[in-house]
Formats: sequence, C-alpha cells, structure tokens
Amino acid sequence: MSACQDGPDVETDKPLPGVAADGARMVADGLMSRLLDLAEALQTEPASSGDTPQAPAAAPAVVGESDGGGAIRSLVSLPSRVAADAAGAVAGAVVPRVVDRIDVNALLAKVDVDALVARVDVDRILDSIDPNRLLDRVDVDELIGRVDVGAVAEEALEAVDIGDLIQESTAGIGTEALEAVRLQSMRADDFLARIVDRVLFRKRPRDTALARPDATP
Amino acid sequence: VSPKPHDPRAIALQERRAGVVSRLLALAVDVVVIILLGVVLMVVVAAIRALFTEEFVVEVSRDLWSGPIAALIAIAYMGYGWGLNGRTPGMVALGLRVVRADGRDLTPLRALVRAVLYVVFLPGILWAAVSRRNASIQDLIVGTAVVYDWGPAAARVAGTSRSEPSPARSEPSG
Repeated sequence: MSACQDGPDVETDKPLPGVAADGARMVADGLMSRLLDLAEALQTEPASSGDTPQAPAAAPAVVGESDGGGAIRSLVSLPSRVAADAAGAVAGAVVPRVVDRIDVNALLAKVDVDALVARVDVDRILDSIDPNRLLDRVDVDELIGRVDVGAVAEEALEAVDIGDLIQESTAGIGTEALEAVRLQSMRADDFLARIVDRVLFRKRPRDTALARPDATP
Repeated sequence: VSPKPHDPRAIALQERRAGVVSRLLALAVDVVVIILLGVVLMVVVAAIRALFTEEFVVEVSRDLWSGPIAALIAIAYMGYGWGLNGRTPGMVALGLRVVRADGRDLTPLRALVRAVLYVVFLPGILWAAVSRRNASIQDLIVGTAVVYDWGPAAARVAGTSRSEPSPARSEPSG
C-alpha cells in the first residue's frame, strides 16, 4: 500500500558475527573485572593461593577454617556470577539487534487474524464486563453537553409529521372513546331528524350541505 | 384532540350541518365548564375578600349584579371560542364547528352577537330539531351554521380540507 517497501524480511547491513563479537568482548570484560576484584581480595587474605578462577573443587577443603571469610565465599560463587553476568551481557547486546531485524509487518502477515479471532470467546469476555462500572465512568452530562440537541430536535421534527403523531399518540384510548361518542351523537342526530320529519310529513331528506358559493360554479 | 374518523359515515358527514342532539350535548359540556369557571371566580372573590375580613367564605351571591356577571362569563366564553376558531370546548369534544352559512369562518363580531343571542334566548337552539337545514333561531338571525368538523385530519380524510382558499374567501387583491 505505502510506497516504501524496501528490504525483504531481514536487514543485511549488520551481520550477526559482529554481534557475537560484541557479546564475547563484554563477557571477557566482565570476567576480567571479577578476577581483578578477586586478586585484590586475596592479597589481603593469606589463607589460600589459588590464582585460577576455576577452583571450586579445591575450595571446600580450605573453607573449614573460619578466617577464610568473604574472599573464599566470593571465590566459590565466582563461576555462577560470571556466567550470569555473561548471559545478561549477551542478552542485552543481542536482543535489541534481533528485535531490530524483525519485520513485524511480515510477521503479522503470516498470522491468520480471523482464525485468531474465531478462537476468542467474545461472550465470555462480555460476561466478565460489568456494564454498570463502565457506565459509571461515562460522564453523561458532558456527553449531552457536546450534542447540539436543538439541531437534532429540529432535524427530527422536520422528518416527522408532528401534528399527525401527536394526534395519534396523545389521544390513545381516549380518542377511541371520543370517536364513539361523536358517532353515537351523529346517529342520534339523524334518528331524531327522521322522526321529526315523519311527524311533519316531510318527504325530502334534510338539506345539510353548506351553501358554498364556490361549490356550484 | 381530534381523532381521524374511521367510520365511513362519519367521513361522509364532515362539513355537513350537525343535528340537534350533538349540539345539545356540546352545550351541556359547555354549561358544565361555565359553571366551573363561575366556581373558580367565586373562590377568587372569596380569597380577595379574605384579605380584608380575615375569613374565607365561598358563597353564591344573591346580589343584583351576580346574574349579569354570569351572563357576561357565558358570553365571553362562547364569543371567545367561536371567534377564535369556531369552537367552544364542548364543540371541540363533540367535533362541531360554527361557520357562516356559506362555509366561511366567523368574524369575531358575528361570534359575539351569536353568543349574546344564545344567552338571551337559549331555547332557540331547539329549532335545529325542526329546521330543514338544522338551523337554530340564532343561526337564522346571524347567518351561521354548525357543522361536523373533526379537525384537519378528518378533513384530509374526507377531502373537505379548508386549507386551500376558495375564490369566495380570498381577499380582493389590488
């Protein structure tokens, strides 16, 4: 979609061997500083003369005496500390570079999102949501304040024949009763008029039309 | 409150002169309303009087002027309704409307005269039972007619809409 789609999956400007060299160098630095610390400690403690760092097997034999102290203990734990430092250093050096080299878009393109979504049980998630808490967070007043109620109402009124609507909705059952009363009185009007007309021997029905001048041009 | 007529007979009778039964029923409603108005007036008068005498007494006055006041209330009530849109509240309920004999709207003056005539001689309405054109004596004097008119919705259904001005109605322009 966008114009720049340079490079395939992996960038090639920083070869991995370089990274490995950096990591190794950092491990070596760490190791050296540890050894220097240890040598300093041993100079003040004449108990043991082990100058090799890999002497854990010999150490327990010397530890029996109480005057060995901190130097011996640090000597014993040296290999694990060095290993931990080395691992941390390698990870710190390697991980950012690896992450840099990953083309996230290419990775995502391989993921079938639809299949992923299909595995999500949305109902369960929705069940776990408390709508009341959600609604508590919503400031309804502010929301309504943002809405131009006047304009919305105006628009709605334009779309609806408000007169008809009011006529049909407000009246309800009362309207039907009223219509019935009116109909009954209409029938009574007609009934009474027939009786009177019969008593007066009228032959023609009553003239109930208005004399509109425009009715007969 | 004007229901759309569903009954074909009611639709056919829109804008036709109404009979005496409907008109008497409308009159009965109006009489009740006028009496209620009188009661309200008496309460108001009692309240004003209570400001000075410090006792609240609602009483039907037997003074000489209470009759004319009642007549004035009735005239104002009917004249206002007919002059405004041809209907008193009772006629709104029964779906009636006062128009001139040719179908035009009443002028306020004509409405007032009609109201006075009704107060002076109420039994004149009974002539509508006998008249060939369902006209009361007041109708004959003032040149009016009472028609079935359930409102604009009914007029639309019946095809007797008054909204379009007839040639007789339009003012002579120029």
